[in-house]
Formats: sequence, C-alpha cells, structure tokens
Amino acid sequence: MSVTAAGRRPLTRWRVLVPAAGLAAIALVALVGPFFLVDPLDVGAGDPLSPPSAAHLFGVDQYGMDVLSRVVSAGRIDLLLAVSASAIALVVGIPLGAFAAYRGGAWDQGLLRVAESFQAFPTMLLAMGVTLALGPSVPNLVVVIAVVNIPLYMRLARSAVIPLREADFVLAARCAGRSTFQIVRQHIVPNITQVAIAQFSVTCAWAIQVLAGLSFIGIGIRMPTAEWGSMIRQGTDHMVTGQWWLSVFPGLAILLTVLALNQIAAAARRWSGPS
Amino acid sequence: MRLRSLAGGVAVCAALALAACSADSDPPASATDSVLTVAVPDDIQTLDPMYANFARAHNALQQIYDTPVNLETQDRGNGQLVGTPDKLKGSAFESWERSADGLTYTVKIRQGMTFHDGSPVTAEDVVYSFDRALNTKGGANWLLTQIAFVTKPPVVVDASTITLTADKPSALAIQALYMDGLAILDQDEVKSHATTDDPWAEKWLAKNAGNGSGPYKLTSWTPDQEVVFEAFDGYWAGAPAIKKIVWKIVPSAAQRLALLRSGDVDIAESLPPDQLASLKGADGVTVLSAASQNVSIVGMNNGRAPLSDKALRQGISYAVDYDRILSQVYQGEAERLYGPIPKGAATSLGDTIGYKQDVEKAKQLVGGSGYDGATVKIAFDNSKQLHEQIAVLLKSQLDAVGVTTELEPLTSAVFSERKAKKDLDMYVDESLAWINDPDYILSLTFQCEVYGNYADYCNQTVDDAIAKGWAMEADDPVRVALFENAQRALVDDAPWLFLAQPNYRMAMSSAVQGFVVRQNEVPFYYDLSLKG
Amino acid sequence: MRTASYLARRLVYFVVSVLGVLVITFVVTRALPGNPVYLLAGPLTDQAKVDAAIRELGLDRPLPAQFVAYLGDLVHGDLGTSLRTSQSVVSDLGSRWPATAELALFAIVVAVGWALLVGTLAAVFPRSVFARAADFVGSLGVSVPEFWLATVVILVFFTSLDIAPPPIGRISGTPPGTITGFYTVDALLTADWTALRASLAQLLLPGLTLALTTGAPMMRTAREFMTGVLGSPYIRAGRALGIPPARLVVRHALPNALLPVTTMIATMFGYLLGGTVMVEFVFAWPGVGKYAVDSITASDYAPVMAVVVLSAMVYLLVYLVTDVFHLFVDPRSRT
Repeated sequence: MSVTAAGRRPLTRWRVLVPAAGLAAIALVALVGPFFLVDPLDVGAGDPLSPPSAAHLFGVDQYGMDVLSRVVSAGRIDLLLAVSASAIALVVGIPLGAFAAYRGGAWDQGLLRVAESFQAFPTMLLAMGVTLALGPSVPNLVVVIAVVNIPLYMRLARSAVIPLREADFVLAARCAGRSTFQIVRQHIVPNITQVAIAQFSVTCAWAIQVLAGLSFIGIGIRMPTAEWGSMIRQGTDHMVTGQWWLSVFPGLAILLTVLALNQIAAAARRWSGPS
Repeated sequence: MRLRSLAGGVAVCAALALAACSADSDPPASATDSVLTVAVPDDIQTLDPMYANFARAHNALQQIYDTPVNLETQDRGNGQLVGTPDKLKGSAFESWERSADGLTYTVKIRQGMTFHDGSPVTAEDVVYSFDRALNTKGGANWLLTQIAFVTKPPVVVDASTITLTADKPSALAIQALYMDGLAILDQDEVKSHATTDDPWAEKWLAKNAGNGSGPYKLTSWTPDQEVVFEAFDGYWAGAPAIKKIVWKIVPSAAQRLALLRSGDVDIAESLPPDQLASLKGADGVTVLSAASQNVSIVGMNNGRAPLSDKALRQGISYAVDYDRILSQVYQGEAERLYGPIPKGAATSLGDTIGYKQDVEKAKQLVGGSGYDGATVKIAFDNSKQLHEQIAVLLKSQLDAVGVTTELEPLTSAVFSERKAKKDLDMYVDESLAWINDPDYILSLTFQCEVYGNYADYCNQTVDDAIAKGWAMEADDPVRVALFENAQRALVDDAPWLFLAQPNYRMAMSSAVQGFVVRQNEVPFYYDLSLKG
Repeated sequence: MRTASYLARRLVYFVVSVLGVLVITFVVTRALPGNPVYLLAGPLTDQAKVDAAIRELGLDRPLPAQFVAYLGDLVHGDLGTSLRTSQSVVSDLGSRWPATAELALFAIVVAVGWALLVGTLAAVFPRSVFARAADFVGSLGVSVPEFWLATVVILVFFTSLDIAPPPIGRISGTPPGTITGFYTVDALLTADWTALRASLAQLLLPGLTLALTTGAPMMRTAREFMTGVLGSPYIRAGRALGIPPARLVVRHALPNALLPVTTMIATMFGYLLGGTVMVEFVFAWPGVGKYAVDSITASDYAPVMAVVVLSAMVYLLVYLVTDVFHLFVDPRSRT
C-alpha cells in the first residue's frame, strides 16, 4: 500500500494541458466553425432524418437542418452565455463577499443569511420559475444564472477573507492609513484568485447544464435557434425509432465541454497561485 | 470487518436487483382476463362532467356516466366503424318527439336504468342533471344555452316522461346531448355533498366519480400513475365485454410506443405521425386510421396591424407550402383543409375552394399590401411538437415572400390566455368540432364577438348564415346555399390559414376489436372486445 | 450557555431564511405569466364567466393582499388547490412525496455506498488503474447532463437490451398494501415478494442514474479527504507502529471522513428532494419533481409555491441539523 507523504496527487502538466487544450478546441470550433458550415437554420440542408453521412457528419434532424452545424452553433451560444453569466456572478459576488467578511458583524451575518436563502432553493425550480416570469430571452437567462451563483462567490470570498482579517500585513496596511477599499483590492483579492478561477470554471460548467436543462424542458432558448438541450429533447422521441444521432451528438457536446471545464477547475484548485 | 460486511450487503442488493431484472414484468393481458391496458399521456384534470375540458377527463367521464343520447355505430364499409351526431340512438332518452314549432321536445325516459350502486335512474335525476348544467359555468352550460337554446330545466310530466323547452328552435338541440357534459347524475348522491357555499357540489364532484350509470365504474386512481375502471354488470344495454380497463399514465410518446411494441399495453394513445409510421408491418399491432374533422390551422389576428390587412393575409395564404406540411409534419396521413368547414361536415365545399401554394402571387399580394416590414410573431403551444414543426416550416416559407417573422413558443397557460385576449399575431392551433354541422362550427369560431373567435373576425354574411341556419332543417337547400356562401366569404377574407385535416390514428394491439371512431374522438370502451 | 445562545441564534436565522424563501417564491410564482384560468376554461365559455372565475380565485387582488392571504392559509396548513388536478395541494403532495422520497433514499444509499467504497480504495491505491478509472468515472458523473444520461440509459437497457422493465412508473402490477407509502418497504413488511421484485425493478434505472450523478462529487470529496487523512501524522505513526493497512483504513481513517461526508449526504438529501426534477421528468416517475414541472408550465401557482417552499425548508432544516450535529460531535467547532 502506498500513500504519498504529502497526501496529494502531483499536478502534472498533463492534467492542466489536456483539458485546457480540449476547452480551447471547443471554443475555437464554436467561434470559427459556423463560418465553414451550413446555416444551422436552413430547413433545406438535407433530407429530414437522414443518418450521419459524408455530406452530413452528424446527420440531419426532423426539420431538414444539419445537426453538425447546429451542434457547433449551439456551442457558441451556450459558451457565451455561460461565460458572461459566470463573469457577472464573479464580479458582483466576490467584492460583495469580501466586503461583508472584512466589515464583519451585522453586514456579514445579513449578507450570509441572504446568500443562504438563495442557496436553499432547489436551483432548477428557481431557474425555471424566474425564466418563465421574465421570459426566456438570452439576457434574462444570463441574469438568472448569474443571480443564482452570486451567493457562491460571496461565500467563497468570505471564507478566504475571514482568516486574513486579522493578518499582520492587513493590520499593517490599516496602520499605514489605507482605506478599506484599497486593502481589499490590494491584499485580499489576489489571494482569492486561485479559488476564484476554479469556481469560475465550475460555474460555467453548471451554467451550461442548467441552460440545457431549461431548454430540454422547453422553457429555455427558443426554436429554431440551436441549443444542445432543446436538440436533445427533440431527439428523445426519435431515439426509440432508431434516429439516435439527434440526441447523442448534442449530449456528447455538453458532456465534453462540461468535462473540460471541470477538469480545468480541478487543476486550478491544485495550482498554488500568487502567495 | 466493516468493509467485509459492507461488501456483503452490496452483493446481496446486487443479487436482488439482478433477480428483479431478469424476472418477467407482469405478462401482457390475455383475452381470458379481458383486461384492457391503455397507455395515456396525461392525468384526469377534473371529474366534474360540466367542467371537463381536456381529453383525459372526457375519456374517463364517457365511461362512467350515461348521457341522454348516444351515437349510432355506422360501418363505413372498409371495416371502419364510426359514430356521428347526425345519427343518434337513445340512451337515457329512450325516444323523443319534436313539436312543429321546434320549441318543445316530449321525451320518454328509459325505464330500468340503474346507477352503479343499484338505485334506479329516475326522471328527476335527468331533470337535476340539466338543472346543474344550467347553473354551473362550464362547457355544458354553453351547449344548452348557445346550441340547444335551452335556458330552463325540463319538466317532469310523469315517471317516464319529461318535456324540454327551448327559447328558439335549433336543429342541433338533441345532437348536443350526446356529449359527456350532459352526464346523468344521481341527484341524491350529488346533493348529499352540497354545502351552502357550494350548492351544486362542485368541489366534491371535481375529484370524485359520482354515482354514474355508465358501463364502467372508476375504482382506483393513483395520481400521475394509474387509473382503473371496472365493468358495471348492471348497465342497461348489457354488461361490457371487457371487465377491466387500466390506464397507465406515460407522458413520453416514445415510451408509450415501446410499451405497445413489447405487448405491455393494448392501446397507445397520442403517438406522433413518425412513430406511427414506424409501426408499419409490426407484429401484432394495428394502426387504425380514419378520416377526421379535426382541423389544423394557423389563426391570424384580424383585429390589429399588420394582419388586419386582408391583402397580406391572402398573400400569406398563397405562400404556404401546404404539401410539404402534409408530407413532413403529418407523414402524408392527413387531408388538405381548404376552408372553415372540413370535409365530412355538412355543407362542406371541400376542395372546390381554398388556396394552393403560389409563391409569385404571394409576393405580389404581400408587396402590394400595406405591410411595412413589422415582425410578425408565430405563436404556438410549446407542449405540442407538431405545432412547433408547423411553425418552423411556416417561418421559412413566410420569410421567402418578404414577411419578417419570429417564432414565439409559449407554455400552454400563456398561450391560452393570450389567445383568448386576442393578443397573438399568428397562432398555430387545432380544433375539433363535436358536431359536424356548420352552425356549430361557425358559431363557435367565426361569429362576431363570440369568445372562441380568437382571430377577432367579423363578417355579416357569416353571422347571417349562422343566425338563420339554426331553425332550418339540415338538408334544406336554402340553408346549404347560405353556408356555401359563408364559406366562400371566409376563404376570401382568409382569417386563418386552412392547413390540414389530420387523420384520426390510434395504435393498438391486433387483439382489440370493435373500435368505433366517434365524432368527439373519445374512445368508448363499451364497444370493444379482445380477441383471444 | 454559549451552546444555548448559538442554538438560539441559529434558530432565528432559520426562521429568517424561511421567510426570505417565502417572499422570493411568492414574487416569482405570481410573476409567472399565464393566468391558469384561461387554459382551464376552454372555448365553450364567455369573458364574464372567466372574469368570475378569476375573482373567485382571488387572482385580481393586489399582490400584497394575496401574499397575506397565502400566509394566513399556510398557518392553517392549507397549501391551496391545484387547478390542474382539482385536488388540494396537500393531498397532491401527500400522494407524490413517497415516490420522490423512495427514489431519493435509494439513490443516496447506492451513491454513498459506491462513493465511499470507490473513493477510499482510490485513495489507498492512488496510482493504480483502478484509481484512474475512478477519476474518469468521477469526472463523467459530475459532467454528464442528467436528463441525457436518463434518456440514454432507457434507450440502452430497455429498448435495445430489453433487460430493464418499461419505465412506466413505480410498479407494473398491483402495488403492495400501503403502510409507509414506500413500495419496497411495504412489500417487505407485507411479505409481498412479487411486489418487492416489481418495485425494485422499476427503481433501478432512475435510482442508478441519480446515484451516479449524486455519488460522483461525493466520491471525489471522499477520495480527497481520505488521501489527506492517510497522509496525516497519526496515520503515518500507525504505519510505523506496524498496524495492518486494512485496520488503519477502516478503524482510523474512515471514521474521520465521516464528518464531511455526513454533511455532504445530508445536504445532498435535502437537495435531492427538490432536485430529482430531471430524472422524474424523463422516467415519468410520479413524484414531487414532476408535479412541480407540470405545475410550472401550467402556471398553476399553488403547487409551484408549495414545492419550492417545502424543498427549501427541508434543505434549510437539514443544514440546521447538521450544524447542530457538528457542534456536538466535532470538538473543534466549539472554539
């Protein structure tokens, strides 16, 4: 039986390179792909429900639209949406959490309770309800996903900041007359970077899954715009009659993208980051 | 040790599970059991006959309750059995006579009918049922007051006779009474659950199967999972052949198909066309297909811009690739619909009227109209896959003639609300008229200001025909001419896109015999038997 | 005394959080567009009747008045009536929660079983093929979209291989006599072996799907934690003292993993009760999650509010209980 002395698996270059390369490939295809592929909304692209062939690598769906170009174009939308929503959550959540933790007392507890209230929700149901209430447009979906994740970043910042509150260098900075804002920005935020990057990656992964789930149920991105979740939904009924390519490819796309994002998060967590 | 016992536990669980997998599930129903298993897509919404609006509720109510009249089974010749309201047979109404002025019906109540608990069905029960229909706010009220023009409950003359009076003569008065909205209720049972706030026991009847007199009793209801009906051997027309009906609630069409294929169910309801196509040649499975008067249409908002412009609506009507919709959405299992009265309904002009695709003409009309390029939203109920397909095809066809469109998928609740409020531009819809008569059809959908006129349409010629048609005999040539004119006016005005009449299709095991396609397309299990 | 004041504060926070959940849910569900009355009324009616129905349901009153009325009903245990099923929400939930609870419990038991087993073994043999496989499965389990996995599972095991029973709900055949509402338990208690086999068979596919996605994060946490524990000084001391490896793992390392793992299990269970939505939807499992989705698309307010509020409350309650549990069990948290 062998147990490493440090108790941690070493962070090899491969663990970072492979998922990062994978994600970069996905992003590249999503961004550039549409220029080389058939219009994803063209109902005349091919014979409806034809299986994968040389002309249509992923087959054709029931409307006559090319599945490959739809999978790629859906990637663009999903990634953009996921990244913007996560960015908003991070940009809003971290300063809020850091501020609350640094100030402590009523601020801290109050914001913590609010965060807890949001986190208590079965997130899928909350996302569903809010999407329906606001309408399933892309900006609204970004807002929903961002809002649901802000508490996470708040708590993240908070747990990173609290031990630093009484740290020597912070006390020193305060003695030197720096304002709260400057201290937070210069000393506290850099220490959260590593964890924040990991969390950002995870949030993106989660956002993609939620968006696909909402579209799968029918209240996310509207047809005929390509979206992985709604493509899976439409393909589900066809799986039984043998047209498996409608659901399998979008599902694999989600799986690979989310997998890459999660692996990057795992790698980021092990990276030591700025001291 | 803990690890070992944990492993042991896991092994036991796995063994149990494998044993469960490899054991057969319950064997499919055999003829000797005479149990019919049906896979249905959703659950019963309400058990109150006077308020039921959805297919599952109608389906359940039609088995549990009897109605004043029923549909006579007709053989179309190719083995297809149908029932239409122009050929009725008496049920609770054994026979009836209409007065010369058409305002009074003298009805003989059938003797010897009993409710499920054995108590007799009396004339008072019949009168009570009409009374309740008139005093509740559901569809039954509409049928009596707007189709039969009956506003007062019938009067008991003696134990076997009642008289029913109408305010105005209507050719459809008795026809309206085959629908489950006019279920015959046990007044003692229902009244016993009434309260001062709820004098008609609406709260109770919504979730309880009252004492009915129909061929089946509802014996068990596990919400979202299963409903069981058992035969009522005391049914006045004789005990049903099938002793037990089990509904399995399976929302996924693909799974219903799989269950039918594997023999786990005898009938799979509501399968989409492409899945039905895959059943061609399947062992032991029949796909029943009958011409239907269900119409598939796209309504347009005639009351506001841009579709208030007739030229634009006509242009759009020429732009549609009707053949593609029939072949791609319905897999060829549909007839083309040309006007407001579908083929099969009285006075229908069939294919002698209507629009065919003509892209050049469409462009001309659209260009020549007042259309300013505003985005037209095509709304549809996002729970209906076929409507979504129609909308997607329509969008590309309209874009091709210069109309800017956007799809607007809406949840069922939002779709219904905005449609009722006339707040949609274009909406994909379908409609099945339960009486195959132009007065019924047009008074519901095209009469000026009527609630169901979602397209906000108004034309005096049509209203005239509707008003005059009620009192006339169905085959009166004057009436026929009136409605033919109305059809031509409607086609010219193009308030809707008249797309298709999809066939009624039901996938069932070959052992199921005697299926009658009724006008309201609700199965009546009493007709059925299982071949051994 | 400090414990008492901590508990008191914790309870106050619980109540405040619950109130917050109530307000947020109310606002969101009332903002849900689509008045359910129109869908239910159908075409054979007129505007006057529809307006009357809206008035009857109190849907035309201002929002604050509706909220107050709702709170009043809640206090009396009245969660409203579902317009879609015509039943009271309480009875609707009552008939559906055993389905969700049984599925969630099954999934948690299986998930914890495989997560702990695999996580521990992977920590003990970190560079083996097994550990790499565990890595892979863990990553997959966390990344795979649940609804897609469910569909694929049905396609593979039922449609193609025909070794799983049809996904038509909790049991095909007669359910066992009702004692707890859990079919498997009731079947055991009434010695109804056919029902036990049948209900277990139906539980398998949805349960295993859930167990994979729920267990994957648990497995990774367990593994990381075990790895940390195994490298810790007292374990190394144990090794130096010659204590056999199996005993080290089971007697010394595993119990320390219990605390974070029980926290995870507890929060997972709380989450599962509201979060089985996708799996229930695909398998048509007649539970609370499917009920919630059907109600949302029908704009049926009462059930949506009830499900969201109840799931949130369960989650908060579980959180509260675990915090208190930690307080008493973990000596470190008392400082």
